[in-house]
Amino acid sequence: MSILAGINIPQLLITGIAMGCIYFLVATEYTLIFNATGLVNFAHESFIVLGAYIFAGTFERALGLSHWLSIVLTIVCMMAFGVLVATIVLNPLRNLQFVTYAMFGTMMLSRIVLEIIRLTWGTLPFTVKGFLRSSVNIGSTVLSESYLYIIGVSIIIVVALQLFFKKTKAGKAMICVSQNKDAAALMGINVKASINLTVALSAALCGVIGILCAPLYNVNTSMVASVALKGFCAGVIGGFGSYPGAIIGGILIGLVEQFGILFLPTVYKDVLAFGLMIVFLLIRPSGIIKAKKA
Amino acid sequence: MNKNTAIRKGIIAAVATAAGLALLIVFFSVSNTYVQSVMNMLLYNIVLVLGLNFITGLTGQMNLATAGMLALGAYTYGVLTTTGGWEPWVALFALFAVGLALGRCLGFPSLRLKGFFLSLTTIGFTEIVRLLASNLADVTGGTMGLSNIPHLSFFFAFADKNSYFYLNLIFTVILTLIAIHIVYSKWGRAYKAIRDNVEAAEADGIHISKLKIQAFTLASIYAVIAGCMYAGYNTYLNPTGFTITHSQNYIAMLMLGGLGSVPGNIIGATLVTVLPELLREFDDYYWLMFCTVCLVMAIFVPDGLWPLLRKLFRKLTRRDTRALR
Amino acid sequence: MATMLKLDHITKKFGGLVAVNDLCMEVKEHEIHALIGPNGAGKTTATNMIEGVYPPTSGHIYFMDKEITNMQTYQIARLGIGRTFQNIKVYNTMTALENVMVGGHQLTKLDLFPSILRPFKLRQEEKMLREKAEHMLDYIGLYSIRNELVKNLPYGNRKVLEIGRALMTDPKLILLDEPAAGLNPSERADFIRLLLRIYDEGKTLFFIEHNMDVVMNVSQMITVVNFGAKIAEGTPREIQNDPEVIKAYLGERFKVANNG
Repeated sequence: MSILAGINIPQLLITGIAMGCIYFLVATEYTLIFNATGLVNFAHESFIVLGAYIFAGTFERALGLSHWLSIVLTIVCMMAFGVLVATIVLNPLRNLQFVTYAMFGTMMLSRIVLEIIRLTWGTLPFTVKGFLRSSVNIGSTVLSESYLYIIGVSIIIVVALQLFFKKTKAGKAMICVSQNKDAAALMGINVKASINLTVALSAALCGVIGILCAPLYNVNTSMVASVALKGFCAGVIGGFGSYPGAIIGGILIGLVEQFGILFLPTVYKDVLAFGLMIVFLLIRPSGIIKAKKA
Repeated sequence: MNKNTAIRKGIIAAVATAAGLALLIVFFSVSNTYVQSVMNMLLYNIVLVLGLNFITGLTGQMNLATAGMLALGAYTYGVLTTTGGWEPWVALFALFAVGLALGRCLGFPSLRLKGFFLSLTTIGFTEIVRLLASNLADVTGGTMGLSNIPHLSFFFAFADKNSYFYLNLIFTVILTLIAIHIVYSKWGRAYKAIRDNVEAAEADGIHISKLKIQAFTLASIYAVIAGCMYAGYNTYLNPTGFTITHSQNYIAMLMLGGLGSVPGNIIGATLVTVLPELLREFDDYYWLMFCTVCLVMAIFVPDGLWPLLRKLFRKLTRRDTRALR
Repeated sequence: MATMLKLDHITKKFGGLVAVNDLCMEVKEHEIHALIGPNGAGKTTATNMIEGVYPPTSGHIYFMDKEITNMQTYQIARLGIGRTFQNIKVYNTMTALENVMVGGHQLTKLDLFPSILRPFKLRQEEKMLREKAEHMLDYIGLYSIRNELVKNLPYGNRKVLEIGRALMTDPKLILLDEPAAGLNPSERADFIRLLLRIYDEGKTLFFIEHNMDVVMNVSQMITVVNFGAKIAEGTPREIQNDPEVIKAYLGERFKVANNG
């Protein structure tokens, strides 16, 4: 057990779970769009970065608003952005002949958003001062405040989404739309509006992820590149299109990455997630939990 | 005249486009090193897109591994000829072996996975290659890169940079001819059949898995040769040139020009490579405009520029004949 | 007459659902054989097993005395079974001529890498395929629209084109899944004429159909299935008067109408 010497297991555990929560939030955010439109949103990375920039660059730095107000305003902005994107990009892409066209479309959307960010806020990376930067000591374990917030917020989001899908009319309509658009339209559900709402929700979630990632990384245009890709890995491992699967896949990747450091050189940390995903794709493409939708 | 169908016209158009382009390239790149390096970039981009066309354009399997395949080719050539101390032309044989093996490795997932899942595997592949290239510092030079890579030379021929450029031009022309040969034949049709309707293709007696792997193998051989053209000309390599963004650029070239047609591929590669160099004044706004154009095209003109140009051309010629009557 | 296709006690289960239950039947050489039955009786499942889309849970399938039970679809197609689909499957981005030429792909011998090395041989094959495909289009009456993109063609033409593509594979047996569905009466008459012409050329036809006019007028032998099992087999006249078939599928009206 000599390799375990000097390594703080609880700290690895908390870090792993927190990163896992980020991955699972990413997985949830694109699963929402995937279930509603059948499109995989390759632009989600740029949405997250946009959220981080609106929060950190505009509301925190330029306007100097309080944290809470900034968070609320960011979410509102992201929802508006979501509706805009759904209307002018995702709805037209949904109806194209080959999947490749739609995938290409969302990739280009991603780069457009990133370019707009670069032109608006400049290229210099920056940090948000005084936002989730402190840490808590429990015995010999040093826990960063931001990790605890990430875990807390994730739990709130899981519960809120569950309630939304189970209790509200709009949430139920979304599930109908994801299962059969024609039937939903015949039942009097406004499919376009429902898709707009889903994308808005997804964009808001991206905003939250961006805010949560802001203290972890410097705010710059490539801040969440690996997080966004690992979110895909989490979805595939857990079971694509399934929300519980996203949670399991995300946390699994978070933990495997942290504990993988014990056995492998640190440089392979990132390779691990992709390797795991490819193994899953080849051996069990449906993931740990198979999505209900065939 | 009736038997002169679309296919033969396509071949003629492709040969004409390639020949015209080759002439232009020679004309512009005689002495200016900057222009020559852009032209070399254009050459290996054309090769990459021609390769990508087999798998994404014809067979319809989204492949974001192009940058990874290019990297693998470039690094194989680079490492073998520098640290390995191999003769460059011997390394060329190793490249073919890598291309064949790579086609198998990447083709195998495509038998089980479709659409988005396949593209994820190829993204994973590109990321793994890039991460290994930057982390295995003792072999690849890590983020510092690999330098002093020799030109591909056959004993003493093509030893200097200028003549090496012409070797690349010859490579490109040969590979273009092979691409034309395959795309406008039973192979091109069989690949398209897989894209359009797998069940029907199978019922027609087409061996889907074999053809998919072959398409991937063609793509990876084209890509590793492009890698050799890249590494040998620039004599320097580092991992920053092989990201997912680059893979997306190759998809953009393919889509802009037109899926599945060789002239379209050449046009697409040329536009995406040369335009940023020509439109330097727009510097800051260039990629924003470019991506917006791509997105608008993906929605409204998903078939790309080539079919559009052809339609325009046909309309013009028709009007002419009417006027003559 | 020799047996061309033989299903020997085949059963297919999807989870707990028995789609085809212990089905035995034979299709004789140069015969028009129909498979009929209510919706969900297992007709399409049976065709899919013949074509190798999925293997039967138990039982054996023979084609020309050769077992094809666990073969892949493309291998079975190459042995000489062509097929058309219930909801037509054509290659939308290609022209009519190219669609038919794809059907001839498996007739050519040159493999991919040899064909790079032997360009003239490849062009020769190409010419052969083109001529054969043009003959085929002429035969099925679509020669005039050979250079149209298939996605722009009307439904009836695409249906005929699908048959042409299946014929291009040089099949001995053609499976047709609901060939008359979606055609108006005059198109249907033309289509039946085409089928009979194909039969006269020496092909064996095996088809699934709901339109009783077509079934009773065209076929020589009919097999009726219900709930995955065979309930009757015989000539059209025998089937029309079979009490079990009338009860399960045809209804009384048809019997009276045909006897009258």
